[in-house]
Amino acid sequence: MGIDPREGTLLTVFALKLARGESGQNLMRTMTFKNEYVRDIARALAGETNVSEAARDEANRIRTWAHVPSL
Amino acid sequence: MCQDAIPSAVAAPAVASGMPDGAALHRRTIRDAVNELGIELAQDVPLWPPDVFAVVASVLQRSGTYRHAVTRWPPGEQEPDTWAKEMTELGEKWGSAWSRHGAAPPEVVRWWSVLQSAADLPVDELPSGTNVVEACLLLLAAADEACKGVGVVDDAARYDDFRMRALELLAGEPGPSSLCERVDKSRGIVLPKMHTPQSGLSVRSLSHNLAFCIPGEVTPRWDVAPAPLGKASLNLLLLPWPLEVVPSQFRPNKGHLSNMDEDAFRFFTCEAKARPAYDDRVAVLMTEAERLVGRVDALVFPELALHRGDAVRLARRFDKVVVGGEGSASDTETGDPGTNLAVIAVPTVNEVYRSEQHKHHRWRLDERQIGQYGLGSQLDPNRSWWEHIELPERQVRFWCLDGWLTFCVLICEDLARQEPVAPVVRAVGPNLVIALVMDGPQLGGRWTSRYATVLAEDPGSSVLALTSFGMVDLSRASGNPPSRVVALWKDGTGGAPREISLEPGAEGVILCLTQKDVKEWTADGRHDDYASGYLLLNGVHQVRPNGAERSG
Repeated sequence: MGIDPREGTLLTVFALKLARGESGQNLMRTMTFKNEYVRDIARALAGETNVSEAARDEANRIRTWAHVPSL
Repeated sequence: MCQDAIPSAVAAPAVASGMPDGAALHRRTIRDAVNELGIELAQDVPLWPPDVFAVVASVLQRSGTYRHAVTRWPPGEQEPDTWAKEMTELGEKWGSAWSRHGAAPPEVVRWWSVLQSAADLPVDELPSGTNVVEACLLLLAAADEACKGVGVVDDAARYDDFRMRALELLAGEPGPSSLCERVDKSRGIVLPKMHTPQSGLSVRSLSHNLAFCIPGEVTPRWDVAPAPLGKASLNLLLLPWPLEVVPSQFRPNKGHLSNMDEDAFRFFTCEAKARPAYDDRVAVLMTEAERLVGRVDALVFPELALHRGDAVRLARRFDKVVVGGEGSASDTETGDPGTNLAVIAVPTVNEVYRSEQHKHHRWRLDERQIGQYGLGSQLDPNRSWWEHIELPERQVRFWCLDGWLTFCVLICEDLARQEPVAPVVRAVGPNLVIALVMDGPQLGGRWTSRYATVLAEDPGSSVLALTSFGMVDLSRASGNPPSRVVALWKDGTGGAPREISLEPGAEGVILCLTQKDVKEWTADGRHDDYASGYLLLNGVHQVRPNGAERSG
């Protein structure tokens, strides 16, 4: 039935913080995503590879906008 | 910015007698007003500007003394341009002080101390023109300037720690969104703001970037799209469906209100006709719409046009934002109410973010409307008929899709009734308000146009109202010829409302909306350097399943 948009807002913050040099591991510890798909996107942004293709594609879209360096 | 020339407020008693037995009443003082927000006035000024904004906006609103900003301003004989520039710089300093975990700028500390020194003054007797009022106005302006661009999703390079913190706060749970850190959401709410009223005078006239709301029965939520649209225009495909509505879809229904006088009032429900999923029809129209205008950004359906789950499925399938009314009829056997809600579905790769907002007010059908829609065979015109829908928590969802595009949705009656949602919508001033209605023709002289005009004038929102062609076709208002007007557009920059028809053979209409940056002014003389985004209607195209487009 769709994802709570709060998760999307937090994901935006997550990506922006990554772009500013914060550690993905630290962010994964401090920011909580309830939705598994959104959590996968965050993990993909943080450089993890064992995520779904859709999550990786969405992470790439957000990475481009937020200027998150590719790992 | 000195306050030396401004008289100090004369200490007035906060205790007034007048009770018959001589007991004293304690009047609300500045200390009370600030403490009510959960801030201890005696402590240092909060470092986070939205907290200070909430405090001073509350005091100014309760006292009405913001009028001073249009009486004698700026303070200290300063040149207006110089003062405004100084406030901008002060706002920047304040924001960066927060980012560095430093101390608030000295001016902010000094004005806060003026407020502290007036802690015992009754709020309702704050003399306009005193240093207290001036300090409040200065703190309000500085906090507003510190919060430029908060809450919107735009160029990632413009984000700093301050703006990121603002987004985090807006996503906070539970309850309403608010930018405040220390002011609890049950006491005061501060939201991002898109438009400053350019006429009239209220406390809303004094800020560009922040809106203060007194918490009430409406829960405002602020959502942002993960990554902005990245375009300076918006193409909406309006689908005024269903194309046919018949009277037999309306039927009486029992509810659970045992005290309702059944001679005067009854419940009705509106049953959607059985139909195949809209997906294939949308696909055909989408292809045609993209042939006409290149791209479609969002699909918009009227009130109750969709079945539960349709919006998310369509957003996922077509990778477009979907705004539409979903619902279900009430249950004949159990007497349980139906539902009527607006769904906003924003796609990501393979998934969809979804928010919902239930209708705040039930529709009441009276004799005139029963005649207008020809429902006499179903509903007795001698009674008033209330829409039998549930009334859960009242929310208003603001969605930011880009720096120039924040919108909200209102469902039919909720546009017309001023309470309880209108004050929140006016405070935020979204760039676009979409009214999903189940109504007759959207003519310039009818109620949607009147209320759209109110929002367009203050705060400056552009308004789109959309009904179904089925309801338009069903409507035979006395004295009016048959109409095909399914939508009404009113933009915030003035001009007459524009009626939008669904021409014969067409099943959808594309609206091409473009962005225009306009300079807005606060009542204290600060402009926003053309940061206010207005949406203008710059194209209307009929969409026929078999092509053959004619432009309007």
